Amino acid sequence: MKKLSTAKRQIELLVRDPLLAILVGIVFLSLAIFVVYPLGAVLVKSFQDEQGTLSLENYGRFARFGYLWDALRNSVLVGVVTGMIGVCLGYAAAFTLARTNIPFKKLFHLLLILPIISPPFTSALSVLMLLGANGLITRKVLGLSDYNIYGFKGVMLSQVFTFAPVAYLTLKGVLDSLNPTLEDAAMNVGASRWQTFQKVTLPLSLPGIASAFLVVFIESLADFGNPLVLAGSRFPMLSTQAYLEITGSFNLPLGAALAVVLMLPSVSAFAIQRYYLQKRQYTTVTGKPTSSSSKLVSKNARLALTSFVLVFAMFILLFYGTIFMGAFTKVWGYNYELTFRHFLYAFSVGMDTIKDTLIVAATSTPLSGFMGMLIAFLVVRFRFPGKGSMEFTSILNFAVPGTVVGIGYILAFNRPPLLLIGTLTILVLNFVFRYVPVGIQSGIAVLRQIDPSIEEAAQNLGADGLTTFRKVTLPLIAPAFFSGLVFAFVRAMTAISAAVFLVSAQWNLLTVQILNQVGSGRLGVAAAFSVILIFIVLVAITIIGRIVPGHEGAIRTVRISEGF
Amino acid sequence: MELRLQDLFKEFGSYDEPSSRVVAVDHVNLLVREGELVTLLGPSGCGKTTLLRMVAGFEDPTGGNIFFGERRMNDAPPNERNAAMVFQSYAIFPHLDVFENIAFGLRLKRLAEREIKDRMEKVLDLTGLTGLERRQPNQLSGGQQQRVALARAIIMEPQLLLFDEPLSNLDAKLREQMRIELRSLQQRLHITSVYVTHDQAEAMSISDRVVVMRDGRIEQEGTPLDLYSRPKNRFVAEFIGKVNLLEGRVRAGSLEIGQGRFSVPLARAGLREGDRVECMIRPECIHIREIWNPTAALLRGTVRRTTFLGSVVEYEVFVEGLGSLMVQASNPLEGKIHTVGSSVELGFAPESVHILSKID
Repeated sequence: MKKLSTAKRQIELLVRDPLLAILVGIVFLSLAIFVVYPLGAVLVKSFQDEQGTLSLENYGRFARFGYLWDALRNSVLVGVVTGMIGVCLGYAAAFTLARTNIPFKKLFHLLLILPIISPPFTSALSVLMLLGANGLITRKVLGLSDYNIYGFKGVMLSQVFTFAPVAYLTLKGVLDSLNPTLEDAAMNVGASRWQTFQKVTLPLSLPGIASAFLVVFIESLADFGNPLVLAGSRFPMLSTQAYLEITGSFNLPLGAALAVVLMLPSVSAFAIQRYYLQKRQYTTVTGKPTSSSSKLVSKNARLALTSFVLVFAMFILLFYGTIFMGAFTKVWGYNYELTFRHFLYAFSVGMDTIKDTLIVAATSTPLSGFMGMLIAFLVVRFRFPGKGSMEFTSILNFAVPGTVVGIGYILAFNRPPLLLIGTLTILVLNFVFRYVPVGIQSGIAVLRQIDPSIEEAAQNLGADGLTTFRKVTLPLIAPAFFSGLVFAFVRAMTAISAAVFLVSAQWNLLTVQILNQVGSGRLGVAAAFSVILIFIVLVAITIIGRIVPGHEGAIRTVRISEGF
Repeated sequence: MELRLQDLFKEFGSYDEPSSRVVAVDHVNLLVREGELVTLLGPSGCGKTTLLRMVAGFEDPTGGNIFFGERRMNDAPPNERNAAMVFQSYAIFPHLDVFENIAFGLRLKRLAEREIKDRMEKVLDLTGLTGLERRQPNQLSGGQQQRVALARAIIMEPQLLLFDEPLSNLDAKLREQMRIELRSLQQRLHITSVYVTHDQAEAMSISDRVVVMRDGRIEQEGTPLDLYSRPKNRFVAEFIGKVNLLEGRVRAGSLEIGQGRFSVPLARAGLREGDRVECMIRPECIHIREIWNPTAALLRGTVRRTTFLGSVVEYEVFVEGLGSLMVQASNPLEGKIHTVGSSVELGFAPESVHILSKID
């Protein structure tokens, strides 16, 4: 009752500002149609049998068919192991780059995050080429024949490679924001280096470590490409199993039920990460530049850490080098002569796909960028009923594995008036609503950092609401806007788990094309497509980076004025 | 233009939950005359900033009226009030250089480039920013940022200038210098101004009148001299300057404090023989010297603490029956500095004792 009258008052305020009311309405409506409705459709479908009557049959199958249980167990197992190894590697690398003065820091940083901007299964391709039955290492170097990389070890290896950089990036942020003065203080009162690390640095970064673990766990569970290439038939995993039930056996209800089962651990991990851990992170943003103390690391430790990062970087180079070489090698494993024929083939059969991919990415990127900033602005600066649920819903699609979203979209948009299956629209909408949360989150973070009195000052000098947004707020959030754009573009180019359900003969994507080539054994062509894809992404990032207006100083100044 | 606040009232929190409601400004009446600088002074949470933000239009009053001259401004949006504000955090637009920051409001008014140039020149000169026009905000010192914020406000030729603790981010020396500059600028431009601060020295030095606030209410308003010499109550007395609070008793038409008896004029109505009163005396009103005639001394005591501050020496003197008194002696280089433990006698003019209230 009380809540109701508060809502009423807020609605009254909305009515006074019709533009705002319309915007809020549009955002709510589109979130309902393109986020909530598809997820609801998956849930409903999972409780139906193949004739469409209500039943628990699909979940009952878990008890009866061992392979479904195995799929759940395998997915969670791989997630946990990948998470742990990924976090250990990521932390060591992040610590090295944040706390020591190793040479070529910037170069190492770029190398370490390279896997983040490439399709998530390029590493699966490398693993096959290096360690598969005809792999360079297994067959050529070690002389093994019929080495079997498929199953747990293959998926895990490939995922660690893919997701350790994610852990690295998260933890680098955590360590960078820990004020090194705290470490200086500990040593100042007599703590040795090891004690300082053990009693100060490590405990302070623990929430960040837990958070990074959960992020990797979620990504691993949701991963589709690596399991599809490397799991093999004897090691079923949830995301691929759901795909196979739908595209192989045309069993939509069972696929939906698997999707729901897949969703539970990821959404819980996401909820813990977001609502519990994030509040416990110790960040010390003072606005004053803090120089990192390199005293924390002894000479020997520095040597060890540097060699570790070096090895890490070498592995990344090896994996990418393999893809690159594979793209120019006649028949990997048998005939290592140089050739261009994979590229010629890729361009002859794949030109349309390349074009489609670019169209999808180029359409969805600005859309999700603008939508992200709009929602961030609404959530941070205005009060209206349902604000919390707007933020939550807009983030939901990011927490949910792509497989679930993909199944949701084919269930939700397969009949009029929303008959979108097989169209460009459904691919674009999928990417927009799936990657808008990143834009929202970075927008919210930046907006919260902007001292509200800066906007008040503009009003005080005679600017109305719209002018204030245009002349003050927008330029200040531009950097976040552009980084949101880069992310949306990279993901639109490289994502597969949801898109694999939505591509059609008319509209195909590069990632799906690569998987198909791997599936039919044309590793060289797959490698050539991967090289093309990575090349496009790098060019696009450079272009977007160039057209970012020169406001790098802006955010820094905001922080400084806040620090007073 | 004069600013008039009538029964101004502001309550925060939800209407649905009475427990969450907080009264920030409690029925305040205030008149700021044309060209006058009035300071709102009080501890944090006293409502001074909320009051200022209501005048600027950033908060809507729950009740009461705000008049700019004859015009009621309650419902005018902040961008139509022409009440330029200098923010505590300066709120300089980080993406604009000094010139564009200052010109921001004029550009919104679509003033001709020539007029902007003319006004800019004057304002840059007034604020001492000439030559820094093309600097980015992050290339400015704290004092320069402060001047940009000020310049951006006065270039609007506003009918009202609002200051929200504008000097609190500067170091002590610069703060004193800026105080003087602000004051002379305001007097020269003759702009009606409201200034918010929690620093009593700043309030005293800059204002025509000071309004002391507590818990959303005005405790006392008056000139700095009024407030310092005749505070209405203990809160005001203690908030402005240092003070000794004493208990006295009315005996035979005069005031008895400790062993001493003073012919303090008991003009305060309603005081009768035998009443106990709380009174005050400022530390610098008490004279201190070595005891030379033990019987004639008004008050005798022992020095407990000596603090040499340069221009003054501050003593804490313990007086039997009265407790510790704070005493300030000026020009310590000329006289003798009393060391801890020495016996001293204290004296003061009866009229420097000010009665605050009757003790029931």
